[in-house]
Amino acid sequence: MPSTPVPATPGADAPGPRPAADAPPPAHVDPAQQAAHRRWTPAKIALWAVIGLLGGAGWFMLAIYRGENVNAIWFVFAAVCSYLIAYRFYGKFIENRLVRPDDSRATPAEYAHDGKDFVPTDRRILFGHHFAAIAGAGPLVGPVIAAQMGYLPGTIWIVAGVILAGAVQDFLVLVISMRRGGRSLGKMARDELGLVGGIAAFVATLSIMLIIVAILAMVVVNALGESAWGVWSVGLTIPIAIFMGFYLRYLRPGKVFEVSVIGCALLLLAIISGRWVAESGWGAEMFHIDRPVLAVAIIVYGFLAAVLPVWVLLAPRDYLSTFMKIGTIVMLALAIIVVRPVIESPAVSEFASRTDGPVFTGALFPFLFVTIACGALSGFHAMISSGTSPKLVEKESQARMIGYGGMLMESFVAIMALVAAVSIDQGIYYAMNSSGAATGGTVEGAAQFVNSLGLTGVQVDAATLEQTARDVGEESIVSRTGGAPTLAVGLAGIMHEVVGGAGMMAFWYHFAIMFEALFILTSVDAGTRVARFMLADLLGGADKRFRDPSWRFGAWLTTALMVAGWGSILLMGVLDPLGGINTLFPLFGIANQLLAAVALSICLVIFARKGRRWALLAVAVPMLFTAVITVYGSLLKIFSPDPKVGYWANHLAYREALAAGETQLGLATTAEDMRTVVFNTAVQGSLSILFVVCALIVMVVALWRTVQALRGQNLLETEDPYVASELFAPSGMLATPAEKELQGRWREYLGRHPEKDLTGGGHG
Amino acid sequence: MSAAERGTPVLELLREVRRFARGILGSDAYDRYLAHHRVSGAAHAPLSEREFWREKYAAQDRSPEGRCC
Repeated sequence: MPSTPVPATPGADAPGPRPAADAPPPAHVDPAQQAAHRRWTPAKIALWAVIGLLGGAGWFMLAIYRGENVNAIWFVFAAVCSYLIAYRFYGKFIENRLVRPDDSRATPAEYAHDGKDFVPTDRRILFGHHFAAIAGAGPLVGPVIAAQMGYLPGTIWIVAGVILAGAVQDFLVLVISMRRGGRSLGKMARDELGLVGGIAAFVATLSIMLIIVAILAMVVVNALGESAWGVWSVGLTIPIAIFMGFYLRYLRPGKVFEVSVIGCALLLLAIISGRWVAESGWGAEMFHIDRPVLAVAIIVYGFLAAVLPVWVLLAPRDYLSTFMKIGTIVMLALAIIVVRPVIESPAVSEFASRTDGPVFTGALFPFLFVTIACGALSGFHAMISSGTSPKLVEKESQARMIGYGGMLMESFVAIMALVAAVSIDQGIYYAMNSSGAATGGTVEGAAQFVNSLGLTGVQVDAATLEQTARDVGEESIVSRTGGAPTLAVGLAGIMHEVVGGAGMMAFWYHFAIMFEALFILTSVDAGTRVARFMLADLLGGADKRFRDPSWRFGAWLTTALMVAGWGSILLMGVLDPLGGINTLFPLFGIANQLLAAVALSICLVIFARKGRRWALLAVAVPMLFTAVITVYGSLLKIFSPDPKVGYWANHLAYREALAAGETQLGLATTAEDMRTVVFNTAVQGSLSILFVVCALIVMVVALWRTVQALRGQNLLETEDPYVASELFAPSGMLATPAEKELQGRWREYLGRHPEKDLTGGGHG
Repeated sequence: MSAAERGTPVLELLREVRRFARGILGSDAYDRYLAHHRVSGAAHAPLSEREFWREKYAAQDRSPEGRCC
């Protein structure tokens, strides 16, 4: 490996007479000393050979050997070993050739230290913090839906996509924002791309945020619809969060950990008590709510949650969500290793080469790549990587661990979700994920539909579907689309073997539904607030009062507009006669990936302006790949003549059928339904056009600026000025011997100068 | 911290776990604020814990942070 290009100050760290006893140690490890540590010893070579062999074995078992029963443990080997190799070699390559961190330079956490937003934070804590902020329901949903094509295409895309695209994006956005005082993606777009590119990036970001919130909300509605137990336990999270909010404000301010433990215990009680409620006559009647009503309830909730002060609902639920997220993911990883479930899905299913899958339509290329967005490449992360995290990083060289490493962790969550989804019986999988219009919503209809798909080895009968529903404590599992219920069945199937036995399946099912709903409600609430502020900032151009967040009327109006934006898409999806999720989910993926293409374009311009040349390919290739899949996917959605794929083709088919006086077509069985389809497809088609046009503008402007930069023109300098650093911290998860030694010298120095210790002595 | 202050390995491990959990949840915000207050050499007295958290949530109201999907 080439050594870090930070120029070595000769003799700065060499033994010999020190200038003064009190002089601070250097703020970075001497590169020569680091290079010595990096030398390839036989032990190190052996370790990486073993990692390589284990990973290779995993991929061999998944992709080539396959056999009768593939064991889930091979997913863990294949994924984790690939991540380790990518982190060590590709992440390092990008760091050396593109990023070139300079640890003698102070990060915003140091030079803008304010004790609140800008605080140098222990890298390992920040890693957990960053991971909790980026990982939500997305990586749990996409892989489940994509399992329709078999486990292999999804697994390859999740692992290869994160290594070459997703983690690169998160890493680079973190780096460029960190050199700019933690500036947001939107501001950087404006700075680098100018007015037109900036406006296009703004419109793209705002509309993409709304569609993402809408579709996440639809996942919750589909998971809770007609489920008394689910509605009861997820509904209880609201009073629990409010209780926590009051506890923190009036009883014991600041005792966040304590109140989170109490809240978590109450959550478990809410899940357990759901069984009693669902089994009682009054409970089943009261909480058995239809999806359209639930959608309205979530819209009303979304509005209230976004106008209430954060301490009431958002902040406490965020604590709960973080607590549950990390706990559940660790638990699921351990359970998969202990139980090692056998995979039921084929490596590549018949639908991989068709375009008419019942779960989502369209061919593998490009639709698999947009169906799995979060976990492989998620543009939304660019909002987190530019925002909170860059204000907390201690050293520039830690960005690889936090940005690249954090995204690898999310990818592993996606792999676990995929494992859970492909470990359930395929017949049950299709019965749960085919739209209600196809199955008729009954066990008989579902069995008939699934068996009529003609898939080898996929057979299900009504009794099995009824039994599964009874096992998980639901009235029915037919057409529970959206991914969350399928994941919950898979997770219950794995977890009950570790804790509780068959009697606990219903508990684990609702546990999974609960934590997904918790993440999603947090995203809905936070997304609405962020969107409201973006709109207020825009309207502030016309009326300055909008920029004042304490102007209640403005806050209410902008919130109402944003809620109306996502709420109308949500209602449209829930009432869609064709099934909602399968038509809208591709739009979610396309939107998210377009945002990724936008973020990568901005990184491309910035690094081209910094004078990088060939290394730019590490950004340009994933950017162009993302651009191709999303633009091609959008074009198919807009222009495809196949009504199963193209929104407008479907729109015209229904319009013509209506004009011809027909009262049913495809899955729509009344003229009313047909009119709804005509309207919905028009909205979906228009949104597709809006996204792709905005993203294309951004990408074209960015490519133009990149070419200019390569020719040495229009070289803007947008970085904050250099400030010398006066603190030290190791860069990786574990400190190297050289770093430990330097840490020791800093500890001793800070002991003499406590006034220089920005981290409050909390460093181990 | 010197070796004597750290106590037994088990205690130290528990302390580290607590520090991590508090850090990831954001429960240590007031401690960080106090540390900042100490090193910044401000003349005024620091906010009380209750005031600090009120101010913190009010600031969050004014500039929301996204949560990912």
